[in-house]
Amino acid sequence: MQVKKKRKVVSDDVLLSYSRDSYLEEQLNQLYSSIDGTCTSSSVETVTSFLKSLKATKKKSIAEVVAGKKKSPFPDWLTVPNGVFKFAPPERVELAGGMACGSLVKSRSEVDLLVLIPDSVFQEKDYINARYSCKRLLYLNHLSLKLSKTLDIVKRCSLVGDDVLCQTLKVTLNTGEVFHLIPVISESVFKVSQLEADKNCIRPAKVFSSGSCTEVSTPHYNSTVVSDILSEKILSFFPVVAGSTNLQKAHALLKVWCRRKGLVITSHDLLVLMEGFYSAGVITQDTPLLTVLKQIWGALPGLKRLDENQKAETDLHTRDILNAKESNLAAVFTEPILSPLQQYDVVYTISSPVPTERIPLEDRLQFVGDPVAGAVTLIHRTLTAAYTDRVHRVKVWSEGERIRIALIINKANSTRQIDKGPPADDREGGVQFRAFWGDKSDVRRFQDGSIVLAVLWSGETAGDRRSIVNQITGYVLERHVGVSDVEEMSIDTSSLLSASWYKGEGDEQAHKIKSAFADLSKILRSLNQVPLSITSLIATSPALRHTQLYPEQQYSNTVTGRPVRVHEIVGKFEASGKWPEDVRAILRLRTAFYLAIKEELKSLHITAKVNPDYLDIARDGFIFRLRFFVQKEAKLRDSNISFWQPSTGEELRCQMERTPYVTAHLGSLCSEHPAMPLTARLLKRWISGHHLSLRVPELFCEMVTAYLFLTSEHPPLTSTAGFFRLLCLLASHDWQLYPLVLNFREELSAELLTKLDNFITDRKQYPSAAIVCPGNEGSELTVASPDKRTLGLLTRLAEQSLKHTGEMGEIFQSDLRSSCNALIHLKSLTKEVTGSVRHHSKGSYFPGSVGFDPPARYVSDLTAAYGEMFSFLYSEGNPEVVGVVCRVSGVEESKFTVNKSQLRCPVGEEMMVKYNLDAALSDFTLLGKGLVKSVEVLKMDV
Amino acid sequence: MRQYSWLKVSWNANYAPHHLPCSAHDETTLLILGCPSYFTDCCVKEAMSTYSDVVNISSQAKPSQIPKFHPPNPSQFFRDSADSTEFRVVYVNFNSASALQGVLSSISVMAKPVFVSELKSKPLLGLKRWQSEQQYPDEAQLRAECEQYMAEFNSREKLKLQHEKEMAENPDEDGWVMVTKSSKVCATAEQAEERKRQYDEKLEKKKKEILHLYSFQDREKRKQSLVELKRKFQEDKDKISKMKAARVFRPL
Repeated sequence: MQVKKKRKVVSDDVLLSYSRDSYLEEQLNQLYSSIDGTCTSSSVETVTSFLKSLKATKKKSIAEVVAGKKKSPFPDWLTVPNGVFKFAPPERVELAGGMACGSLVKSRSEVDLLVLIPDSVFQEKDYINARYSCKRLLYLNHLSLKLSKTLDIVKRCSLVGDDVLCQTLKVTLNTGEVFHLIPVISESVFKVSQLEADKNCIRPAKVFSSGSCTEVSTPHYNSTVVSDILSEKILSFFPVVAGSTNLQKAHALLKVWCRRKGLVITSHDLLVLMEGFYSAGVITQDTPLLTVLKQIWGALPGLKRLDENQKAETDLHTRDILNAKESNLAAVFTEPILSPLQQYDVVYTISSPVPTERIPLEDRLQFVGDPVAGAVTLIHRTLTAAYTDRVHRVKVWSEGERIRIALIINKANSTRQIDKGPPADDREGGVQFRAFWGDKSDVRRFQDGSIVLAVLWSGETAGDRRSIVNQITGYVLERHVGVSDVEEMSIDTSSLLSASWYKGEGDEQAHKIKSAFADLSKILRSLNQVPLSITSLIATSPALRHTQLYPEQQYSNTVTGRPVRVHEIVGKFEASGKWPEDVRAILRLRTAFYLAIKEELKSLHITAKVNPDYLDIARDGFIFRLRFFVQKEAKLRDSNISFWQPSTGEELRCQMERTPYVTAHLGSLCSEHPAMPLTARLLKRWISGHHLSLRVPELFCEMVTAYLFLTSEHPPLTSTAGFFRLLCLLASHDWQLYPLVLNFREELSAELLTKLDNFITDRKQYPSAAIVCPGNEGSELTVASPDKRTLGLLTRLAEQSLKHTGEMGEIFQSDLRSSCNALIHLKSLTKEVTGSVRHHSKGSYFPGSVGFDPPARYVSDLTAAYGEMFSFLYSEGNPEVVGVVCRVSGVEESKFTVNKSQLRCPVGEEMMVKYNLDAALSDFTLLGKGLVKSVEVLKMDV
Repeated sequence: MRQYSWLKVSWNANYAPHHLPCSAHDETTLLILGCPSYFTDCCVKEAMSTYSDVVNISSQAKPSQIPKFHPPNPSQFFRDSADSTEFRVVYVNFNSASALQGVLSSISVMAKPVFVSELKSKPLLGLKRWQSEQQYPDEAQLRAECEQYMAEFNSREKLKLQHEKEMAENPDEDGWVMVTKSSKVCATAEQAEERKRQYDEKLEKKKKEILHLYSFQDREKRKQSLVELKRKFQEDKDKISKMKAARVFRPL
């Protein structure tokens, strides 16, 4: 009978998902091809046969064995149990992991060997009171001693793993090959039913000599014993993996992923999980790679061997990758591995040991009395309860004696000042709440009429509010864990970014200037005696985005010694066709507008001063510099470029059109991400600390910071995390091969994005630092600077700074003397810079001198003249010394050409020339006449 | 290869001198390379005037085949380009070839450098220069200059317009009419009427033209435009929802 085939209806969605999966498979295959490794180890045979040939020892009591060892593998806190230990050679030694399955990873060609400890080593009840764990340790220790003493090819042996209960033996050979000996036991040693999660296998009275305690279940300990039981199934699974390329790839990729994420899951754990799925029929040898990966990722958090803390972390990472967009999947494998300081928003360190009496018994029992592991569990539980919804992720781990805590903060709730508890009439809840928060809890009445128990944190200033999480951590850890020295690993922004004229990070100053600008822009828009109305006013000054390195102070009638800075505003008039067709006429006409605006402002008692190019307006103690952009002027300048050099149309457009557009976007991004302004300021401070203030424009710093915040899956919520991630970006980004694309509000066209995919072919069209964003499609804003040399310098500095994250204050400064050929010492100009403040009628002040910064002006003059031969190192924070790095030699002779005529002097008759460095040194003094104190030559071929 | 003489320039005897290569650019023009910023055009003119009369002077960033002598800018407030401290090349035009040769020979035998501080037109340097740039100009003078320039400019423009109009209306000796911006303005009412008629005819013709022969083509086109409209609408909607999601309410 002929069966009519039913037509399969495939919906668009299914088709789409098919294509996406195949795209992902392709991505994963590409990744695998880059990590695929091989190992041709002939030493496997040698090690295996050596292990099997070891001789059995006589029976001795465990205490005797431990006492006889010079170097005991037992930690101090582990009680030596009663019982006897007798070494016997391994019953079997089986190849496992990547080597057995053919899934080795290139960078880590490590061989796993399963060492089956014979049943004769154990007694029936060894699983009780951790006697099994002690014997396991002794067994590994015996192997370690024999291997390192007898076998010549072994370089060193060490026990690895934080958890003493499941350590393995790492054997490094002279050839560099690494073997991991994983001890396993046969299924017949213990009854698995005795080791179920709800069973108690450790009697507190035996392990802790201190009195009798209630027996609680010990799931973590039990699972570590169970995970050591070798099933025959896993051995027969290795050839299955070796016969399937998909399973091999999955195993290799998962190993890489676990290592990158810093998870404690081993290669063997992964194979055990895969075997479980294979025997249940969920995966087969032909299952697509992506499906296998998804299955394993889904099951990883349920791995029994992990404790609660590790489970939570694994769960979060797997959830991240399962929800990751397809475009980000490859990035999970290829992005640089981040240190905790870069990965988390806040990192704390506890150096002093946690008092043992504070750790609850159940926590200590899980780890057979390990105080650090117990403390880690206690701290994790306490902090999770205290933070509630302020924090997305809490990670606690130990590094030797020290305990580290890392947090990913919840932006929406982290600065909340109040933690509400149960209503005042809820007795049971109230008791619990008071027990947790102690004196901090209080009954409070809220605006909605509710009367509840609540905790109030101090938050007068923005800096205080940012530190509420720190306040909670300090309080809770002292109260519940008994630790008072919790040190936050963060950059001390309040000292790095503070100045004598404001407190802390200067948030309050930023708000003042913002409101002054809002006020002024309202007034300017409502002017009615100016012939054309003002349609747009955009502040390009970083102070208005709170990204200025040192926030501005309001000037007063006292001379402070600081220059009064101006804040640039770019304005536009309503469209008009009556602008003349001549640049010089446009300049005059615009000045006439400035005069008209000034007159009207005067009638409103606002002081303003007119310059042919701009209008300076004083408002609320700040000076705003208003410039108007006339589209026609740029076009006219374009039509006669040679005449208007260097003030060409494009330059004008960059200053008056592109910069306002980009800064408006940056401003909105700053208000969206509270940590962005401080991060940008830290980057500026770092650049200033290395004396590169004038070589790296502020806008460049802000755009790089914006890139970080725009493209991160979890944008940093503290300036420290943001800053270290920025350093990582600067150290790893290849400016020659890739542009930074800031697609603000996805305004960039699809065509441009496709074009940027082939960036290398169009590389010459872009400047050294290619940053593409709406309004800056050709990276016009970074044409002038930073140049290739400065970018290289930034990369090297970032790499160095990342290596010294321990000394955070140190990375913000560098020594000029060691790196410079000469130093120019400048005078400190107090009077000339500020001038006298003139008192105008009606209570309005105008400073005598505004926007006057002689050191910065001096260095930019020097750079314009001598930039090709010298590098000038200048710091905004320390403007009294300018470093000079000479890039040419004063003794080297060359043939004279027209292009080599600047700063040269003739040598001999044959039109040979050399650099005239004497004249250059004289010019350094001459160009800065009145400002330069002295020029100190350190080392120069003059 | 050109012959170069070396002109030594310094601020005064306390400072090391610059050595500037000088050569004849053409018959009457002297080329001075690598001029430092304090040896301004006025200083060059004054220094060279001691040897011969200078007709014109021009400076630019890089040497070029034809030097550009721009019209002078008499304004005391408005500059054509920003001042720079870069090294530049200066072209000095003399009235005769012999004068240029005389200057070159004097430079080659000159023992003492030109001391800029001894010149009348010596520039301000360092702090004083920056302070002078920092000053706000006198508003009355600034206003007067703006008004005067604009008045002159307007009258110039008016004359130019008038001249162009005349050129457009009156054919020259060969019967050619100059096409200018003002040619669009019709000379007579008849001409204007004629143009209007021609324009209307063009529109009418365009309307009558059959774009699609078959009705299905029209239908297709309508459908396409509808799909396009829907797509755009959807895009806009998405964009708006994204913008809404991105907005954060942040009271100060």
